[in-house]
Amino acid sequence: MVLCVKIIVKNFKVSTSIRRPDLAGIVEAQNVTKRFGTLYALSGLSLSVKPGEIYGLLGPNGSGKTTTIKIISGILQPDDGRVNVLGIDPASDPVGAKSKIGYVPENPLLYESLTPREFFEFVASVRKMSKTDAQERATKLVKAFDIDQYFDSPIATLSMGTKQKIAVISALIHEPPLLLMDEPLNGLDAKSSRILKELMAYHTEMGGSVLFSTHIMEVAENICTRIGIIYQGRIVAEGTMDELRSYAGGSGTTLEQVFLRLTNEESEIADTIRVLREAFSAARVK
Amino acid sequence: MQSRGAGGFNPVFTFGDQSKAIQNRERTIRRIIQSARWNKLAVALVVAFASTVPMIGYAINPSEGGLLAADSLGLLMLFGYCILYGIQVLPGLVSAESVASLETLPLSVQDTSLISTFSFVRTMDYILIAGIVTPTILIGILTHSVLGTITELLATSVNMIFAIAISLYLAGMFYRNLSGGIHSKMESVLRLGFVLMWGLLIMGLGFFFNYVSYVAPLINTSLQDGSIAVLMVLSTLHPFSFSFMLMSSIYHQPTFFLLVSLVSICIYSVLALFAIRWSISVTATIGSYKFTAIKRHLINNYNLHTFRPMFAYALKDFRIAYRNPSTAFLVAAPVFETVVVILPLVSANVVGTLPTLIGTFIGGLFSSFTTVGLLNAEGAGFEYTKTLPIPLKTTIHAKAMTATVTFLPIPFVFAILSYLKPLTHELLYLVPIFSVFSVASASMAEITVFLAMAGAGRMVAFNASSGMLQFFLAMVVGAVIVGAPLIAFGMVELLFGNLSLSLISSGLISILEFAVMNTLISRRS
Repeated sequence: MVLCVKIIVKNFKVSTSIRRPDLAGIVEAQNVTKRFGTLYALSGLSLSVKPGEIYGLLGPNGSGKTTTIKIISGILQPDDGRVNVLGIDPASDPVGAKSKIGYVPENPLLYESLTPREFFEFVASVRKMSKTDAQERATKLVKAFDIDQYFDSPIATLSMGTKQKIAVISALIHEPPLLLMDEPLNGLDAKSSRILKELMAYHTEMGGSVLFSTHIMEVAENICTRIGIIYQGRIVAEGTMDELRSYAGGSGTTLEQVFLRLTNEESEIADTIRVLREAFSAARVK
Repeated sequence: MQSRGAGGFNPVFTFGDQSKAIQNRERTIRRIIQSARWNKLAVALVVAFASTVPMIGYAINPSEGGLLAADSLGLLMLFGYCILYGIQVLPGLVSAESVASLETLPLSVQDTSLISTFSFVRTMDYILIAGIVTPTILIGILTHSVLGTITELLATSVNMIFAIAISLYLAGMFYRNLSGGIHSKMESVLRLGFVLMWGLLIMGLGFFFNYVSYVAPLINTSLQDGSIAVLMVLSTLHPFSFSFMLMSSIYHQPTFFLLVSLVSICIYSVLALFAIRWSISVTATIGSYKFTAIKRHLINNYNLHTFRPMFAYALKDFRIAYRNPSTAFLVAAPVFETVVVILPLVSANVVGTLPTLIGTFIGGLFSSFTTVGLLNAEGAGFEYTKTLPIPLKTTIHAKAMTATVTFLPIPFVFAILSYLKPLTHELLYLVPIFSVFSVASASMAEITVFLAMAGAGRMVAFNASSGMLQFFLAMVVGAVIVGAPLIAFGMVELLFGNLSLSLISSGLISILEFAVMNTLISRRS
């Protein structure tokens, strides 16, 4: 299985290697603030993604992961702060920024009436790809992710996992320097999940960068070059796994423990478990 | 349950600031439910009004023939409206997406079937009640006859049951036809043919209502003349058989045709029972995906075609529109518009200025309104488009281009007509040609109005009814832009009596509109 995955990824030739730009970071976000009414989704968030690295954004629900990714991709505008993506400010030139990015949303809201073939044609056309390149890339990705039989079926008739694969393929089809992925492994089967992880690693080997959010600690632990822990709209810790461990106070600590410690959720979880145990015990006695 | 699916009635809900919706989910969900109710209520009121209108003639001047004509016309209009509504909302239900979320719950197959059946009933309940109750009450008030009221109750019940069953059948056919995917060029051609017919069916229903109004005088004349052949045919057909029975019960005139219509009514009533049974059995199978089973095919090529971004966007819009039953009529729009506009001119000896102006205005208005349909058809997919490097200007131009294309046959056919028939002015054929610019401008303006209101946070519409004001405003703007050059033409003609000057002013205004809209869009982008 591992050999098959590696063969699939190896066959995935990149026609030109992604040029590693001469920048301090592929992504630079400084003191970014975003409000939704009275709610502060981000308050002074700062992070950087270096060339050739996989940056994992970890945080509890509602911590601002999706908002961060949307601001970097140019979908949302920050209320304050500065963002730079490959030398482009997404707020002032969203089209320019988006042309450099492959984005996988958390919920793939695609055009349900289109077939995957038509959807890839649309995406490739908008990204001004040549017919040859688009066909070559799409063919390899479709085969890699095993969606051949769905290629001409309306997206509405496909499972959520298959829709996710379509979103992933659409993000990869134009070989972007930066991949922005919001919970990209949601709904993917084991094989596809493994392929995507290998492709992410391969992407960075070729000079690209990846910024993705995930809840799955093991994924972040295993594949991320650096991890940023986001909590209440700001990065509370950032670094390699070893750096985070030492920051949280102790070697041998798992990412889950580091995460809970830095987001001050350890004691809260302990209290919750105690309450639940008491409740279930009482129910059993009755 | 709100249902989407490949052929569902896609709500316009992506153009506003989603953050506000996310912030207050409870209020958002209440708004969705309210919108759905208002939408159904609005349709029910339209249906009730439509069934009332034919009765006005009878109320003013009661007569046997008048009752027969009014009642049958009312029933036919109810029938048509119910089908129009049903084929727009039911494809989403039959796609089974509405019950998909129940799969994880500990529900038996019977429970899921019951839920999907109730969903079906709740989808059609308001229109069903309006379609049955309104004519029945009207007949009761106008005729003061218990027997007549009971007859009308039976007539409307059977009428609505047939309409709903036919809608369900057509919805399933539409969804099955388009959910199987496309596997060959021949399938693409056949698919397009199917959608063209679908579009003409929807538009033809409009003609149908007009045609029916010709039946009323025919009925009156036949009754007066005692035309046996016509009356015999009518007394066997639905809903005329019921109307004959009603007429006989009110005016106590047993005739041979009464017997024929009585037999017909019995047959239709039995058929209605079968229709109820079939409808319930079909909706019960929705959850098990039997009604719309999808076949998968192995593909034999991975060919992709790429285009320039604007054309790709327009092609995407076209594909989405024709696979949505509420916008599939766009495929037939060029044909329909051309027929509606050109047909009156064909029969005239000379093509006059006023018919040309009116026809051009109607055609242009209809074409510009297709932009709203295209926006509606985008649905949730528009969220994904925001992640792509496509300037807003390109999006607007693509939609305007699609809307304008639906108008193009009119100036083309008009130009041909100008060779075949004399015109009041030799350059009159330029009027529809200049209007092409106005239609494009109107389309661009409508989208701009829409997006401006969404950007200002005034529209997080989850259904067309909750954004009714925004749609209305966009349409008014479109109508003004399309109409301005034509009004200018008419005014200059009246003031100066110079057709050439009228044409020049009309053309200049059209081109000016186009230039202004493009400038505004470039600045906004």
